[in-house]
Amino acid sequence: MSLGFLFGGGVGTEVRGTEMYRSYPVMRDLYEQVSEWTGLTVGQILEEELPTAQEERQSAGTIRETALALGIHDVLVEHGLRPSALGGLSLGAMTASCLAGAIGRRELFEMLAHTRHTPELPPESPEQGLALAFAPVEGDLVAAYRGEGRAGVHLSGVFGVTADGAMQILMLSGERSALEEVAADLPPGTIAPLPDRPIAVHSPLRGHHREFMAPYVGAMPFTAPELPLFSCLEQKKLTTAEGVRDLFDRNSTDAISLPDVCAGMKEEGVRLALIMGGSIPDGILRFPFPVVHVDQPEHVQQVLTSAFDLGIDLAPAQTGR
Amino acid sequence: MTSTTRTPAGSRAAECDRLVRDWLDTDLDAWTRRVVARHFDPLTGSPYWLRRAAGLDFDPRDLTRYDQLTAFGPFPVEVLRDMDPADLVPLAVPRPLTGRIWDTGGTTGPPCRLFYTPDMLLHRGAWRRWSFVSEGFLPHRTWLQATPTGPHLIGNGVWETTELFEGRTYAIDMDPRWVKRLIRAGRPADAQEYTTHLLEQIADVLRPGRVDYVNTTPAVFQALTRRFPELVAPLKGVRLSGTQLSADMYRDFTAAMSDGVCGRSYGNTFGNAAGLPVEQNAELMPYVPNFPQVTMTVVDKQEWSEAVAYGKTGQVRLTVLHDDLLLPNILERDQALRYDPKGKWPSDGVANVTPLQTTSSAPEGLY
Repeated sequence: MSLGFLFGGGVGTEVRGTEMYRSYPVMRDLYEQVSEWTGLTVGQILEEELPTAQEERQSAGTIRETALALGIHDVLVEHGLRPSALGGLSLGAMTASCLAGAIGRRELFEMLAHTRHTPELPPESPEQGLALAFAPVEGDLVAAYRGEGRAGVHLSGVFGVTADGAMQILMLSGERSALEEVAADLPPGTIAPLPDRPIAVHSPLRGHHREFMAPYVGAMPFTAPELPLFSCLEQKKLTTAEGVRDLFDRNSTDAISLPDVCAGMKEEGVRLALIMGGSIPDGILRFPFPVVHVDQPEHVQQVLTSAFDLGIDLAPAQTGR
Repeated sequence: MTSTTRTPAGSRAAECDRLVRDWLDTDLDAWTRRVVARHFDPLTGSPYWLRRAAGLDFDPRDLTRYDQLTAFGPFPVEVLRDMDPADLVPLAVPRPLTGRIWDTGGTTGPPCRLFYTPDMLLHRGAWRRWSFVSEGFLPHRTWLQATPTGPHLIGNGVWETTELFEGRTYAIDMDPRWVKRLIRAGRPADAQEYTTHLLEQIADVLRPGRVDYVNTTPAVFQALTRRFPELVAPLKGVRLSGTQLSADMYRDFTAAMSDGVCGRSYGNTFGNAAGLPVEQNAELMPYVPNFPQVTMTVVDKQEWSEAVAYGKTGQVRLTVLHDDLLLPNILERDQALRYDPKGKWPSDGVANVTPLQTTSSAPEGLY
């Protein structure tokens, strides 16, 4: 009966983690370190307004989210809570890979910093966007969201079944106008555009980013994970350095699946998962194990109590380098 | 009707069954008017509510419907830490009060304390009996009660299984506050040692094979299942409450007992809810409150007066409407799905209860 650590994707629009930062020296130490590695100030990493240029903003946002997730991990380790299995979505998959020992922290942050040099798309390119889609649980997935075959709309993520088992939540990426068309064609509430997300993540529209990053990722010193690590690109346990490199390479253009990550962790014996940094909202989704969100100091005690109540083995394990 | 009165067990059982039938037929608005009128009677009301009435901008006796109880605002449970518990009991109950004061909470700070009149104890016991029967437990069996006792109302379960359910009951004691203190202090090994101490006592009672049912917390039963599976296998049932219960645990427990009932309840000294049969292979574990004295719903974490839609997650809001105890709008430290009993119950239910999480819950945060 083991403890899983789960990391969400995306770059949040809210500042999170300031209370954790102020409460735990180990977290402040990490932020200092990340500042040295990335050239961002601690204030930028923690809470200041992100840059406005799109790729630069995305880069700084991913550094912020990753620093928070790793910082919370370090706080939990100080309290004797170490993961027995790791998984994450999108950016979270890369954080999980780091904590599994497949890539160093410095290398991860330097890679995230490098992404700010991704060439911006030409101004005449169609505006991109993201949307959530709420689909019936039963029936064909593609038919359910009715986006397949629509030019400019891509199924970019599967988040899984809602907490009450009534619906499933998908993510659509694409050209903003095409997403708006889908939303208008379907019953109200079926499609929820995410207005603050201007990048069509996990879709072919991110091909230029993948192409730009490919040489960099190709040169990164990956090693085989030392802890069970689960991919978000397919239901798969990553056991080799090349498997992790492949994840990093395809992460920007391939669709992600939270159910795949969770299924792997469940099979690994996870009976309680900790969701780092508030990156997956509370109470929305059904998980195959209890989850506790950790983004505030009081959550640490809650985790300790839940772990004890659920009979979780808190055996020592290796953590990220 | 007190917990010490000796009455033939069969007649207590019949009395409990009749009470439950009557309660389920009660009109909640009429019941609300009755309880509010009693607590706010200028001469025989409860001292606490009569004091509060002076500061209200409405006359509580004008309330006619249950849903108007939100006018009182969230109940400030912290007052229960210092106040004389007698002040919540109407003066219509003869003074001086005689009886037990029970605690709730206390694992993260001073406990809240409540006086339970004999009618309130019987109410709780009658519903426990209803649960035992509906879940498939049989009377005239032998129980082991391995729960907190002392100030904790769950310990009164010994009376419920013996006097109201015609059983014989062994008991061992446990101190949840000590366990939580050890956990908070970062001493999991010491907490584990305390659990071992409990398990050895439980095993000592179970080993001769005379016990049919165990009443304990999911946490203890899980530890028991892992440490002494051979003692769990022959059990005819377990009744669980007090700590978090996951779907995996429920499935493990039913598998561990070759032919055992797995009963559940949710609540605390304020009020309780009985487990309904699990749904979706235990992925949905619903509970319904001990109506009409106890009602629950699930509200928006940011707006306590707004119930969330059925199937959605929010904070549990509890309202207590005993003749002798009025506690409207207690915001529990738990979250749950709002459960629609679809006509099987006269009020809302809750499902999949877990400790309250104060973090983002907007779907937009998924990416």
